Amino acid sequence: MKGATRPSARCRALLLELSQYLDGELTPARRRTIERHIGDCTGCGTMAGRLRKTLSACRAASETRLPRAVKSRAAARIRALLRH
Amino acid sequence: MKQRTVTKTGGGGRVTKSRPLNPVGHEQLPDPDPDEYSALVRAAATGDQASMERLLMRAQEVAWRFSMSVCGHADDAEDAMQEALLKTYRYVGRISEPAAFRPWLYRTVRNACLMGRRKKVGEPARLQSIDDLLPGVDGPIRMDLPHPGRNPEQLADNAGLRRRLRQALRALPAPYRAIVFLREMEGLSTREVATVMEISEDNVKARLHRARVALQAELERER
Repeated sequence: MKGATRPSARCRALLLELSQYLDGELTPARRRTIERHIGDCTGCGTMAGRLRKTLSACRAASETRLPRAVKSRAAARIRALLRH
Repeated sequence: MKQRTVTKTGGGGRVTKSRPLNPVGHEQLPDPDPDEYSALVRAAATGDQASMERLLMRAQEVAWRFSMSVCGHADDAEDAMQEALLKTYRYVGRISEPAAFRPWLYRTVRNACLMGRRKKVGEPARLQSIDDLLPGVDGPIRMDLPHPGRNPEQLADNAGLRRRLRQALRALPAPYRAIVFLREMEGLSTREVATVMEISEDNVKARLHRARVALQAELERER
């Protein structure tokens, strides 16, 4: 793969905790450790940044509207249920 | 538009003046908070038809979104949504934690999707193992160097963003897709996701991380 980087074992271990770090689920000490590493390691820092943006993109695009036809059929079904 | 009210119940429901029901096809209602769902469930369980209708109308949005993420196809998603609404109607009196109605609904939708699953046209041909894309404990990690032109931040606009995210999500295996949807888009806690997916919280965390990295890789691959 073009431009692929093989991270160190330490990077690999820390990367597995990235999600928990981004979710604020780590202890303060562990969070500081990861923050220090992200600040020092270009690859991991970039990975953290890109992952953070991916999560933001997910949350920004979270709305999926119920199509009108589906909603209409569901409403008809609900009314039929309630008539019984 | 008709005005309906939720009446006070012996089960501890509160007296609430409800908002008007939107006619079919009008603007999407915001998701009720757990307290509102709790009141609707309790009232519906006592036989209050108005509350039952309101509960089902609100639940259909939630059920649809999740069934689309699990099933991936509109027809299957609609079947699963209808099944979940039917179960809500039948079993509302048996929901032991009304405040946890949303996780109950997600679990019901998921089960409906699993039971209704059949060979689908258009399912991604490469349902490859997510391990092919993700860091493993012992194996090599694929980690591309930053590429200025392939940045999630540079997705053009909201419509484009949603389209590309949908495509990227479709490329994920269904269990991972469901976890991303529940956690990132519906905002469920790790514990709630574990309840819906019937796996441990540790498992949720591990799968969520793997799914997020795979999603990122898919987003950056699509050009």
